[in-house]
Amino acid sequence: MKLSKKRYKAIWPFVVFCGLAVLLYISLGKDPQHIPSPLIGKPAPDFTLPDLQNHSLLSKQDMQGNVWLLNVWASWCVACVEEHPLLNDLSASGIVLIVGLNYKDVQNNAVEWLDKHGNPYSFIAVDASGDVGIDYGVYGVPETFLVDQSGYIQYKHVGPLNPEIISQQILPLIRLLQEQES
Amino acid sequence: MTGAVLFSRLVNLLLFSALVVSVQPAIGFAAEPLPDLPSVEQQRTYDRLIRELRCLVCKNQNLLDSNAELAADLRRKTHELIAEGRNYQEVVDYMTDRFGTFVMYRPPLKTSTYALWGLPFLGFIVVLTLIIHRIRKRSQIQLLELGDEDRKIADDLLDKRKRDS
Repeated sequence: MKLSKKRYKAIWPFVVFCGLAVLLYISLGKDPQHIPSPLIGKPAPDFTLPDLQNHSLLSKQDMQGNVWLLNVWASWCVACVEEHPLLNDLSASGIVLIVGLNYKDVQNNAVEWLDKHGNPYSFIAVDASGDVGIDYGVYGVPETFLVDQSGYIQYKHVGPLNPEIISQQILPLIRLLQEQES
Repeated sequence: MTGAVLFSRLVNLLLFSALVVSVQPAIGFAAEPLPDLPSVEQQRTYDRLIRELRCLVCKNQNLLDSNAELAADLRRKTHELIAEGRNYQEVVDYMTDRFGTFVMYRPPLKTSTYALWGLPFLGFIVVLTLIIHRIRKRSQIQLLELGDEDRKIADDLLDKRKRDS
């Protein structure tokens, strides 16, 4: 009787160890850079900003009725170069309207950068001060938001896009939203 | 001057310049002068907020300590909001609406953070219970009454020790 109780006690450190091991293993697969956005499911913040290309004012209402991607980029952003070909392809396919948010950039640099890497954007809002970036909770460039026909944010990705994210998450969501509309 | 002295001077010079270079970013701290807020109360709220809000790019720094551009923007925004007349809670809400509760250094108490807040207290109670349990057990042993026979054996042993020494 006494022996079995002792044995029972001896198992506790092992149980605690297993618990910790499981917790650490789960966390291993998580991206510490990923912070869940409180904006998902909420209306995309309003903005009125000059357009990089024709200097007319651009606002969220101009996109009303479309499913659109808002891609936050800058010419100083190294990771933006990485994801850019994917945006060019997506733009060429015509599946979705792509809007750029040129975040804290110098206008000439931005124009040059687009000349060099291609321009997938139908519109480019210039956020020189970064205020609209704050409204969208931007903390690392690039970031990409998917906004539905009525202006609600449906999805957000922080960091460069990759083919898996586009084909497995963004495209199915776009299809779903466009089907709901029709 | 011998070669050894020259060498050690060179090392010193290198160390010193390394120090100067490494200190450089810290000098940048005082930069970006934001004007004082109209009231002492507002200035106090601002000082508190930039200590409690996290710089999201650097993760382990608050807005006050960080040199990151985003931190500077968020300091400017905080300053602006307070100058507009918003209070502490309104600025906190503004930030968490956009960046999530992660922007706060002190996580708020809500369903998803019960474990975070509760576990330390739970752990404390468990350890306290164990300690009390141990102490009680130990004091119980001490309280055991010695039987006459046991007492006699003990006395004999003590006497024997006295005689030996």
